[in-house]
Order: sequence, then C-alpha cells, then structure tokens
Amino acid sequence: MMAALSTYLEEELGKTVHIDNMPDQPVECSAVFLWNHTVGRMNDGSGTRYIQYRVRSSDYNKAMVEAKRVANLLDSGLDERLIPLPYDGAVIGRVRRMPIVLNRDPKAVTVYTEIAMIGLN
Amino acid sequence: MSETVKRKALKGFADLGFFLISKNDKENYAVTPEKLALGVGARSCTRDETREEYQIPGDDGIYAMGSDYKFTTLNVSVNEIELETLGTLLGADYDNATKVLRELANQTAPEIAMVFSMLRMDQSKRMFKYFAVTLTNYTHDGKALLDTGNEVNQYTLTFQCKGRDVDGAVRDTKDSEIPAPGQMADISWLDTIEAVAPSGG
Repeated sequence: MMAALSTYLEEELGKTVHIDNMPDQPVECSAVFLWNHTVGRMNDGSGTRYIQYRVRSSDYNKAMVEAKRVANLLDSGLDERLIPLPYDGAVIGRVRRMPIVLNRDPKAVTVYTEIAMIGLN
Repeated sequence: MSETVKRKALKGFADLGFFLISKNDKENYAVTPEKLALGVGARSCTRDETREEYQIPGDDGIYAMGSDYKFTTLNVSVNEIELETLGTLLGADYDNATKVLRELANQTAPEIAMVFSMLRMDQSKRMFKYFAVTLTNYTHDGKALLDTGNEVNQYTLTFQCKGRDVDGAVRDTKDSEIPAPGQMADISWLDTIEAVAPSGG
C-alpha cells in the first residue's frame, strides 16, 4: 500500500514522494512513513496502517498547505469515500493528527500529518 | 491492481437515507420519489430481530418448530440531524418561519422506508432497504467540552421495522457490483423503492 500511496500522492501533488526515507537533499522534500500496522484480533485479511506524511520546506506556510492538502486527500470523510489508490480492494482514510511541526532548523521546517489507512494487508 | 479481492466481511456504515411512505395498506405500497438524507455522518447501526419461537408437539416428539417474525429494531447513531428532519421522523411540528421544533405528547410518528449501505473490502457495497420503519425513540448525548473537544454529541435514533402490509416484506438486501478501478460502487439501487400495486392495477 505504501507504494500505491506514494504513486497516488505523486500524481496529485506533482512531486516526488519518498517512502520511509527523507533524503538530506534537496531541502524541499516529502515522504510517507509507515509507523504501525495493526489487524483485528481475528485477522480477516484487512488491517490499519498508520502513516505519517512529512513535508520539509524552507517556507513554513508552503509546508503547512501541502500537509493539509494531503490530510484532505486521504480523508474519507463522513460518507466513507474510498481513497482512489492504485491498490487492490477498498481503502478508507481517517485523519488522526492534523499538520503540526515535527522539526525546525535554520534552513527548513518539517511538518507532518498522521492518517490511518484501512485496507487489505 | 492484481488478483481479485475475495474479502467479503462487512465494514463501515454509510449512505443513510429515507423515503416518506405515501401508501401502505393491504393492496398498495408506495413511497414519495425523493430520497431524504437522514442526518449527517452516520456513526453506527445495530440491529435486533424479535421473533417468537414455537413448537407443535406430536405423538412421538415435536411435529413442527420454527419462529414467527415480530419486528426488527435498528439503533442508528448520527453526528448531526436537522430539526426539520427530526420533526418529519417524529411526526412533530416544525415551523419553517420560526425554526422551532415542537414535540407533543400525543404526536404520531409516520412510517418511512429507510436505506443504508455497508462496505466490503472488494470495494462493493451491501445495500439495505427497510420498507416500513417508524422512529420510536431518540436520545442525544450532552457532554461538556473538555480538553480535546473532539467528540460530538451524537443523536441515537431507535427505529422499529415491520413487514409492509401489502406482502409482509421487511427488507431487501443487495450487493453492488465490484466497481472498476478508480470508480465508486454503484449504489443507485438505494435511490428508489418500487411501488407495489394490485396485479392489473
């Protein structure tokens, strides 16, 4: 699913989205990280992946706007809209944390948002 | 996309709506054509079936056994519901001019038809139509806003469902087709409820 997620976001954002890796360069950079993957007590073949979308930029506002856009793209909303990932089966996204600052240094700020992605394992 | 997804367990709850019933008697059943939204943000739905079991004894044991359907109870929680919609479901007075919902002790809730869907992991949806439903009770939470304020005060609506008079049908259930990649399941089956009229009528 991480590859599908990266592909989907790259198409929507028109930029490279790395997977589980944030290169040192360039400064303007984005990535998705998988930090947990849970299944039900009786595994029915589906599970929930907890992902972070991180965006690093020299411009705080630019990073925030992009992270908010991703949070909206991956939110299934009140009517359980399927997230159109190039991936087998239904995928539902639930935002768990709206964008906040993860890290700040003299040259850049890194913002992240957290989303739970429910789908096939 | 590769192999066909075989996971069929139901997940989720959405597409909640209702129709007003215009006729429900021994010869006719019809609903108004417009499907109305039943609240915003369907949260949960639990179903209880009430049946009465029976056994008919015979000379050398039980001659026959089974159960008679009585009614179904649906408890539905929603995040939001408009007062006008609540008034319609309760049979209460909602004044469009003053925007006041007045509930009376002797009001009678009308019969409605209710529809909703549940998701399957192959992207199809299981769709439900209940033909004769009455709102019998409703409650809502009231929680002071604490540290996060992330929870909403849900409305929980209790519906009683029975068989419609014309043929005893309680509900129809149908699975949608698996949609093409990038498409949503076709749930247009939930947009209409067919009328029943006397044959030749």
